[in-house]
Amino acid sequence: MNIKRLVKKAQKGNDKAYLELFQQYEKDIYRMAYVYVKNKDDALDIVQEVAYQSFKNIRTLSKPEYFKTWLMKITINCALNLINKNKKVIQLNPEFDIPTIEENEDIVLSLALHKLMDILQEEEKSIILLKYYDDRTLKEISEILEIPLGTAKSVLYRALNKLRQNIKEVENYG
Amino acid sequence: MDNQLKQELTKIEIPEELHERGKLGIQKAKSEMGGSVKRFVKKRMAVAMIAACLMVPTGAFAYQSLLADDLYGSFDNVKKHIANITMKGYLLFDAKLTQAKGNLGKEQYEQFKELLTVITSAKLELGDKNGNIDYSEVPEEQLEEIKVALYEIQPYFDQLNNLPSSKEILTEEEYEQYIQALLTYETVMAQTGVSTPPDIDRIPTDSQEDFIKAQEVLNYVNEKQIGN
Repeated sequence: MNIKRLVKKAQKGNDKAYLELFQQYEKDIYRMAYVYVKNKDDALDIVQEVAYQSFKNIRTLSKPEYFKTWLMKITINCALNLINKNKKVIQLNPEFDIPTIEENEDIVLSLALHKLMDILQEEEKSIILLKYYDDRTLKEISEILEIPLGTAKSVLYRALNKLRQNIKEVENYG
Repeated sequence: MDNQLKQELTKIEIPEELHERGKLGIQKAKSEMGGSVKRFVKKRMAVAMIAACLMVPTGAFAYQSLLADDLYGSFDNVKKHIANITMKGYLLFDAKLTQAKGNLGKEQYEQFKELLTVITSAKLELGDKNGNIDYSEVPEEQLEEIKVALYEIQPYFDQLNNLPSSKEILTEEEYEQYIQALLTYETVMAQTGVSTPPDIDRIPTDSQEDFIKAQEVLNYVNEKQIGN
């Protein structure tokens, strides 16, 4: 069934139609979320939250053809919210912070991806993900992130520079 | 860069529970959305239900005053006891009674009339200006009599409201609770002095819990009756 029809059905409250729709994007959502939060549990929480928020607000989506864009926007917002929330948790004894299992999970990730997640700031991640994972134009990105086009461009170049530099570093020491 | 990033991202393993989590989120949203719709219907049904219950006994005066003036006195006499009785209620019930006469068999109609008399007399004697009775003030023997009549008459009311018989679709225990809930509901309305179901904050604090419980039972029955 095509996306438009599924969106229309979901807007009438049909949860089965929405599940079918959401499933087409759940992997993308999970992977995007993972780049921000860098662990499985938080990324899964984000997927659940995106599913919840998006279905709850599906009636507000006036143009079904922008469903994916809209979903990605919700994903980014959820990820940033979670990061901000976690930042507010004060760690009493950071020096005693014991490495958790999640960090071991990260080892299976390739070095380049790890770097991407570690060296880029949230805003830079959003733009890189939208541009290269979601194939968005800069104009679309500026609309999704609600930032001026000029800002989107400069953040993208800054992010690309960081990545290039990083690749060079790896090459130099490699 | 393009393909490289996509390739890199596919290295992020998809956990088994991913599917389940998306589903959970949607279900949660659904339950909240469905909730609001359901609550709305429930509220309306409870009002409609109570209105139907009230209308029948209220109208009963009209019937009685028309056909049995010598038993209950005139309509004016009823009006003296129950100030809020209206001509509209009178006529509505007259229509219901005509319908009842048509729908029920002769024997059934006779029984219905008899049961209605019990309730009518109780209303005349004990009801407030809206015709509601505070059953907590009613002597036990009389209360029992009214309860039995209500117990028997409710299926007739259901029939007149074009609903499946509550006595048939509920278990015996549930039906008992249902009648009790109707009594509680009316008692709280009498205590609050209103003619339509009041907002919860207008009800005295110690009756609130009973009222909510009664409302839940009525909603449950509503749903069952509509669902069937």
